[in-house]
Amino acid sequence: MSLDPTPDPTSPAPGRPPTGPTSAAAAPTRDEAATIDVYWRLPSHGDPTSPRDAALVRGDWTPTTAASLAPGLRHGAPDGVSYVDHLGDIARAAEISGFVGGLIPSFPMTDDPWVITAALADRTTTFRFMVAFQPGFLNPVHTAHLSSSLQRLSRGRLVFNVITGGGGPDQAWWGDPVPHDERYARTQEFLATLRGVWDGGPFDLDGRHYRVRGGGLAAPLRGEPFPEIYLSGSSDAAIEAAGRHADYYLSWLEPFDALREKFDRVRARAEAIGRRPRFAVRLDVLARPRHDEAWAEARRGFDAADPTADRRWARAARTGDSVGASRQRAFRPEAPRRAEDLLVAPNVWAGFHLLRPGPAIGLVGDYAAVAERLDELIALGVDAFILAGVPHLEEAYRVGEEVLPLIRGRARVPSASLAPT
Amino acid sequence: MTDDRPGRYRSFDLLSHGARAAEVSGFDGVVLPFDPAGEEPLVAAASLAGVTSRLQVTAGVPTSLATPVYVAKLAVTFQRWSGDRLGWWIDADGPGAGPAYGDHLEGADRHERDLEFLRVARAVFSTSPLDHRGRFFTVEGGGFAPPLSGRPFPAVAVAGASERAVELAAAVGDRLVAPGLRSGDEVADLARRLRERAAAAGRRADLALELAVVAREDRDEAVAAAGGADAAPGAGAAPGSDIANGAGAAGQTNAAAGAADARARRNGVSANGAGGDPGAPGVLVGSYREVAARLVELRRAGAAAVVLRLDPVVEELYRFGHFVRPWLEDEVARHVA
Repeated sequence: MSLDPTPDPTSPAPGRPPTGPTSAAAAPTRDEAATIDVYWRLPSHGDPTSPRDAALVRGDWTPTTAASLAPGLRHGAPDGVSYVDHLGDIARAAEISGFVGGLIPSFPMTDDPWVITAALADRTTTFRFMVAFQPGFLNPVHTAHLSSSLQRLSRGRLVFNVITGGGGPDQAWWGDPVPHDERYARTQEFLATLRGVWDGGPFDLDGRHYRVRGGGLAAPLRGEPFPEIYLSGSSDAAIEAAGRHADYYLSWLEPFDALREKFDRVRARAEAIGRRPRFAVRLDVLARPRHDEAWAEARRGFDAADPTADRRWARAARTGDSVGASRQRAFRPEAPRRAEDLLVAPNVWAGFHLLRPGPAIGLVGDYAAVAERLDELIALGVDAFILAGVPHLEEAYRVGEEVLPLIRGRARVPSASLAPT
Repeated sequence: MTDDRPGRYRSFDLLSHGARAAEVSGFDGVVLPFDPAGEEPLVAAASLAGVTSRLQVTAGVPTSLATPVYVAKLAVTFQRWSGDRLGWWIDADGPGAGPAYGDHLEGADRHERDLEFLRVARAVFSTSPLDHRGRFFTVEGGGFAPPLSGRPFPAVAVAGASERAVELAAAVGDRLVAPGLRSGDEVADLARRLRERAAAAGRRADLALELAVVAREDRDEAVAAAGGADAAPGAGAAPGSDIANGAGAAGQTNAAAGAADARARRNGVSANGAGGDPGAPGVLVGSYREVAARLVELRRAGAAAVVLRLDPVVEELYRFGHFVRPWLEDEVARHVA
């Protein structure tokens, strides 16, 4: 959803992000500042059936059994359902229930977000595809070409989530030997090239990582809206890159004070070079009609989790050079014995890594409380959310129908009194 | 809404009409070569796979696109979603994406990268853990795990006829697509060289020819139509008439469509023409029966498939399906009997 308290016929239509090569550099207009974009997540690596059980039975990341779906078994044989088509169903559910789009993660074991976007563009109308990718693996001019074609296919619904990589075995899997801080320097060169060729160039660069002579998209491809960039990373190098290139600085959820401090650092770095990024937070929500129902679900998930899962997760967070992952680890209470031990602030629970692979911190509570916490995040400067919950299809409907309408966004007074001036 | 051109069509509309026509008229596949002024081939291929059910979709993959691991990842999702219908079109003899795409390799260097790229990409599909340290690419502990592992690698068509193209197709390809019309003897010679080189590497690769075809009820009409096509603005040497691939070894007809036909030119939408030889490929002109007879002759000489350029693509695909293909089917039926 786009939460805009002042409906204005002149504001950009949903599905056509209000952005361009210079929009992030300028101070946001009142409408841009007032709009909260809420994305959902397309789980490109399988999906559990509930928070109670981390086993993946949607998709084929675990052996296909009688309980599996997308693909499943029919008369004992694979039924031929493609998991990407199931992601299309999730995208439709998110679109219908009020999300502006979805983040499509990219890891060695996931399906690929570019191909998912190309495959699903025609099945949706307003859903924006936030493609996660690591610049190091792709040629920036080819990426511009690919992205322009996706803008043309989707009518302007491509968004970038630029990842610079957590290091460790995953980086080597992809074939990327470049060390941490150098990767951020490469990301900056990559994004400068992408922008440089987008409107036709001619663009020349003699960089450390890329050399381009006379680059520029050909006439039929230039002039598409440049995708909004969500850039993440918690290290100083990442914050430097975000200050220069991000439309949105994206963070996992952290305790609110830590998040405020992180945003302040990014803001200071960006303002030093005359830019003003917006802020986005990605988090899981476990929302139920009543507080005790939500907690019962979290407890069942905690009790059912593999007892070694917490230690394995903490070890994995150490093997890379991701500063964000080690922050998540540090915020998580050690040696939890009960689900409640992982509660770090009201409704802020650091146990989601036990329910599904990924970061630890998210929100647990009744619909109104979850919406209140999201409003608090908006008050501390958050402009966009990427929400998630398992299973992603049903939870897209639940969160879209039950939680999103309760978020008040920037409007501190009823929106009716905020007449356009 | 993105209104690409002043015309009524988006390039994706024309591409999907071409692919639908190819499937309906009995062709086996469509080819979307890399073209800086065309839609990105993998995006276009995915959009075409979405509107067809059986057609093989072959996308131009310049080896400057991304690391072979990354391009393998794009491919495996495409395979999982489309029912293994992706092919890769590697242009061995063309100029490559070039310095404007940040690619400064030429000649023997680019050939070496093409070889290493395809070797690593194949290994990502078949081997885990994969360790590779080469001149251009490095991988540690790589390779797909389930469920990404175990999928068939995209069928690799190498476009070109040079020694390097033959070597690339023999070493890491599945098919060599030679541009232009050739005599039966030339086809037989090229097919034999390709077969021998592949056998020496313990592999198999077959030969295809890429041809423009103008077929009509009688020869005079075809010649007049071919002249008319040549006289049309933008036709002839302009890279980017449509491509279709036909007359497979088993007598099936293959076809591929780009979107650079007369309709695309009239409406000013982008093209996905073939790279490769700067000259237009040889044009096969004749009556339906003459064209079919020549295609059969080429097949007997050793061309396992043809990639046809037809213009305008939708009309000519239907025409080919109605009037040329039956002669091919008839020939195959007699041949098999």
